[in-house]
Amino acid sequence: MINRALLQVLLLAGIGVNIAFLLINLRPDRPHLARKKHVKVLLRASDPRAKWMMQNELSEFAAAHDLDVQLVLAKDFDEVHDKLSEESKHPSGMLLADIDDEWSDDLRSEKAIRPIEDGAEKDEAPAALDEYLPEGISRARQDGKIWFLPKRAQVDVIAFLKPAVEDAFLKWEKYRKDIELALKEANGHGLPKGYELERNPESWDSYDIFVAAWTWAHEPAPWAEPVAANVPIGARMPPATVRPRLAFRTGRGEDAVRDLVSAFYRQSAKPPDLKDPLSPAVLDYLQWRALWKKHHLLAPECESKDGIESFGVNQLLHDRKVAYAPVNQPDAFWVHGGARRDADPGMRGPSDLTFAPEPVGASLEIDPKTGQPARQGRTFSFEEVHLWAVPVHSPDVALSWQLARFLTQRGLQLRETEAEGMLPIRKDLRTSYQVAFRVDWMQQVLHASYVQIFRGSGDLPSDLDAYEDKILAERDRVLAQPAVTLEAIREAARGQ
Amino acid sequence: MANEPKTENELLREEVALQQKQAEARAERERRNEELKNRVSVAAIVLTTALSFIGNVKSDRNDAVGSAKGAADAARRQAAELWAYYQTAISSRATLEVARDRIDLDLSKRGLKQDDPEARRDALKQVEYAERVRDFDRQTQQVFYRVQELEAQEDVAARRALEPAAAAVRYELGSKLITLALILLSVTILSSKRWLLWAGVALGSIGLLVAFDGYFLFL
Repeated sequence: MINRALLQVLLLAGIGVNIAFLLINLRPDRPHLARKKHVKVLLRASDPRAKWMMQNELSEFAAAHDLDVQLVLAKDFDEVHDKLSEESKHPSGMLLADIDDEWSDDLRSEKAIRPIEDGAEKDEAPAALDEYLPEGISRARQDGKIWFLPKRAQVDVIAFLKPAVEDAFLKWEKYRKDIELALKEANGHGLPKGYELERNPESWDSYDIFVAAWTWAHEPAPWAEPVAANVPIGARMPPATVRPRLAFRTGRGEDAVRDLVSAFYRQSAKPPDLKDPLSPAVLDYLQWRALWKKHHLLAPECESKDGIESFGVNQLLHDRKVAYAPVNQPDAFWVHGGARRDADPGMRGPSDLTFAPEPVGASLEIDPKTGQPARQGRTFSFEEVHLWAVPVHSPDVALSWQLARFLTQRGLQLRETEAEGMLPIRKDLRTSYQVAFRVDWMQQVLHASYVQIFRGSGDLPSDLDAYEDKILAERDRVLAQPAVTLEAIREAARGQ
Repeated sequence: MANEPKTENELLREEVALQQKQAEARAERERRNEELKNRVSVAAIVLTTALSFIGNVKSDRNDAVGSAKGAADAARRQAAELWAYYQTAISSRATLEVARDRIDLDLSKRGLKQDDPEARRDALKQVEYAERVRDFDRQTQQVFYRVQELEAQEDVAARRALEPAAAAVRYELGSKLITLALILLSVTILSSKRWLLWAGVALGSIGLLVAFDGYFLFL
């Protein structure tokens, strides 16, 4: 009896199996057994980048995993932090979030995120991590666990116009006496002994910037606005104008603080020096700033009351109003233009745009014995690493892991870099960027960035928030007074 | 009395009884064989039907792989051709730029005034070079966009082939296991060994599970 029942069950199972295979034959592509799952991905990205990611990355993953992905955009990482905190209290199906390394500790301590390795198979996560660059790995691994997957890196480099540098190289001697006089007023000496302007901005220091900026500020610039006017070839160009052509971020925002502090680091500052308003590195840089201001070497927009931030600097470069300014990778791609078919129009004559690491800091003060700068600094720029993090209540942590891995695979990092501009965080792309990225200017952006990281880069001080207002106040005090000697700068910095 | 020979009737009765016993045993054997054959037939029908459906779905997945790989190859070939054109154009552009720079340097060395006829001729040439450089820039820009699109297509197509390829492997393995099970079932009929039926059913079930994983890709 039991035997008969067993046989009947087996027969029914067999029929069931065949019906199942028949159904599979109707739609052999998988998986469409259930309704699409709705998930959210939190991104700090501009609208064009978010749109590009949705079209070229997320839609493919969503189709393969039967997902309905909704992008949640944040304008900065503070907002990302707030949204993740909210998600931890009121889960809404957030699968993955884009954070930067500065927020990683806070989010972990607030228990707003969970280790990304929770979604990986055993031993899968450590093996996967080997694909990323060391600076990404060090940030991804915390307290013996893999909390994040590196997303991309970002570092400031210098963008400059080649014809502007050629112009400065050819004409600066005309202004040597004036330059010497201006410097003598500040350091009692003038230019360093045997000074010559370096041909290539890759090896410029503070003096080279001053000399070039002086020349630009006094010479008509046929390579600037006339080219931007985009007159027909062979037609008469608009007259060349004279204006300061140097730009830095001079406002009070995050970028301006980063610019200022990295300039201190280029003068050899160490983190404790930032809290000391009278440290030589801080005073050295502020003395240069005072000198630029006195002689109107910075673009007027930078010298305006509120100063300017990244967007303003990028716009000046884009319009060829300045010749030398810091940019990060996405900014560089925006300024140049032409990275993808639907990109914003870039600058006119973009083949003039080139990139180099940040300049080496040097003190204005000259060592009387050697005739050389008393304090020589280095090139330096803060490296920011963006990470993929998993919200603590992710609806499917294994899927979170898979999505982060999908988004950081070689092909997509390469395409995203080419289309939107970023610094890839994968080892294979760093070692092969000169082959993988075949367009000259993109290679130059990446080359300058990797050289910058190699020669001098580091993390932003973790406690900078606590004293950045003091630093900005010190800068404002120094620049509010007209004197340029080190003693005067010290007095102003001291607040007297 | 006891050793009295059996009568003919008794012998006949015994023989009939023996024949009856043998007939019963034969009938029982035949019944069991029939039952085995029925079970083998049912199992074989189930497995053969499944094999047929699996064959169809495997073929579909293989077609999907072939189509994705074909698309990736076509995109790669087209991108490579366009890229070769891009490089040729860039090289021609560089030659023109050098020529333009030479005229510039030459003009500045000779110190000719702008209205000098020779300077005018050189200026004319410079304009022509500049126009050609601009044309090269426009062309290479469009070529670059197309190459970008083709390379993205190649990547996507290559990724699209991964999942059906993994499914096809499982369907293939499942089919092979089911085929082996069917062979075992055939041998069962020849040898009438009941354990071979169960071995065939077990192997067939494993084959079905493997084939199901072709759809779900759990493993």
